[in-house]
Amino acid sequence: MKRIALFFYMLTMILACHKVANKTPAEDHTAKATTYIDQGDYSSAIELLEDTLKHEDTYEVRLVLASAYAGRAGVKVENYWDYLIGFDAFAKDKGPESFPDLVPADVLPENLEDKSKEQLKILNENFKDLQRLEKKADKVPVVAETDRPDLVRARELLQGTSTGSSKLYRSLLTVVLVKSEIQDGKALVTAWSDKKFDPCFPAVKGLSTWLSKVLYLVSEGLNDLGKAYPDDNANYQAMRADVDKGNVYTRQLLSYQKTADTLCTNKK
Amino acid sequence: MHKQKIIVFAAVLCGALASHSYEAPYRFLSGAPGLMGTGLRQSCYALDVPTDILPCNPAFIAKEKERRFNGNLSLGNNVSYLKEATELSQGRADQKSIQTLFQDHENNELQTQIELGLVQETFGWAITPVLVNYSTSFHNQALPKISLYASLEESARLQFGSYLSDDWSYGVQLRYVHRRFVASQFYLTDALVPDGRYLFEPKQQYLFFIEPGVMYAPKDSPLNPEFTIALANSGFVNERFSEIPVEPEFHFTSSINPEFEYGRFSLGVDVNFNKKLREGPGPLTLGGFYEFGILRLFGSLARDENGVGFGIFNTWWNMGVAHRNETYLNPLDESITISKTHLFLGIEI
Repeated sequence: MKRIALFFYMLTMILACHKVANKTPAEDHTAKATTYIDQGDYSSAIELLEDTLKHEDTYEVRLVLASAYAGRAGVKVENYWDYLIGFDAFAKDKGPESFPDLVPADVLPENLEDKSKEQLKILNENFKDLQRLEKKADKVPVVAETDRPDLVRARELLQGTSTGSSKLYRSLLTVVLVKSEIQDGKALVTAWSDKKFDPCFPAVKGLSTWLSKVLYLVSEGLNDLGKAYPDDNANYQAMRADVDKGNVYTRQLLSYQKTADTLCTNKK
Repeated sequence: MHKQKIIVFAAVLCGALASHSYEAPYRFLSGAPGLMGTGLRQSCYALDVPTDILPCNPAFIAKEKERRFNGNLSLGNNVSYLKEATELSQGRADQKSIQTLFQDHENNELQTQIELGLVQETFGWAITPVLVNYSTSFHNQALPKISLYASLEESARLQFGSYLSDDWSYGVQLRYVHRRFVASQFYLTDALVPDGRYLFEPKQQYLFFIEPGVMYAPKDSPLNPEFTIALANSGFVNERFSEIPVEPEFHFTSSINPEFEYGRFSLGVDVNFNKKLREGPGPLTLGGFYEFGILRLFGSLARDENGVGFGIFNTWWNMGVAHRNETYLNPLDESITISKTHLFLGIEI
């Protein structure tokens, strides 16, 4: 009798789980969040998945949550479908177009030491590379400063994932972020240019910090692309090494800036 | 200890049952393709009407009296995707063809077939050298999640039947299908990295079905009722895939066929018992058609699905329109209705 009861208990359990356990809670929540995103309600999707992430940290939860943040920031892959195919935004494809120097040669003091001239040359090259990247990224949107924390959070979520697919997505978000940051930097450069590249212009320090930040993002983007396309990883890492080298010089410029600041204070 | 083992076993079984993967749209796996199949859906089992060349339900073959040979080319919606969908099913898709398929990033469907066959007294055969099914759906505009099903099928059907008595008859359908397909659900970025190559790798399946049907049609009744029991999708599969489940279906049908002075009318109901009773359109489908000369009107109604359409069947060409509504609950339990209108063009050889 007990055995029969146990058999029916087992049967009930199995049938019951067959009815309700079609999806795990994380799968159910990602499906719901996807529907919210379809309806344009990104905030509900974020709220639901941020809560889910606390209990069940899965790849898909991270991916959908990152897409909800990106969507709220205005980055919808649906709109740059073609751009993503054969994605190579970070590749150094030096076309015939010419870009202006960050610090034109004619404004450099004649008595500037060679080392500084060399570093300014590298700075100019880095700035040109960024403009080249910006031109290649003309299809992706510029995200307003107020929406960038969403993009930063999306990238942060994807950092913890390991698939080529998520790394490709992260590198696209990085391009958007870089493009948006370049717009900010351009405003600074214009302001500095108006001051005839005066080394005592207060925004110069901000410019170096900005350039360092952008180069760091480019380096991360290249690293992600290397993971997305392992066959080309060596190329991406070589490019990344160049960018990192440029970033080291930029940071050195920051340290020189302290000296310049002191000189400017004395000048005043 | 014994109880613990049993509970662990049950938990493992629960886990196995809980695991799921993408499934191809049910409409491609059950019922008949083409104009009539789209409009009548499961009710085609209840009605004595040729869906393409042979009737859906082999129980009706015993009633056939006339001899006819037909060749049929049926072009459905989105026929411009035919080349890409075929390449995808055959594993010959490259990045360009995939880009073409996804360029509209809209939910798309395509069904196109060539069929030829012969029907004569109590016997019929049909071969389908090509049946292309294609379906895509897109979700999440921020990072598109794509559901893709593309299949290329070749099939052969043989139906034969006979009368057991004045009121009772039977029919059997032998059906062979060779199916090449791609069925997957993925994020767009999955498809663009080298790891995603497997997403478009086609799979193959060989199926052989024995599908019997029995009909009871009492004579001398003014409404000419017909009752049938048919078993569909019963047979052998060389390999099972979770993306395209092949489950036997038991069809219990009844219909009335009142005699009209002008034209022919039939109204029937099909009860389809299968493993997916709680999903999809539900077990019950009501359907009917009216045929007058070259014009045929038809429609069907089920729990979550209904269709209506008309066709003009001339001596060497036919055309028709079928409109179908499908209702489902989205993950937020909201009822969503999708409406689609299909245009079919056919040539009879």
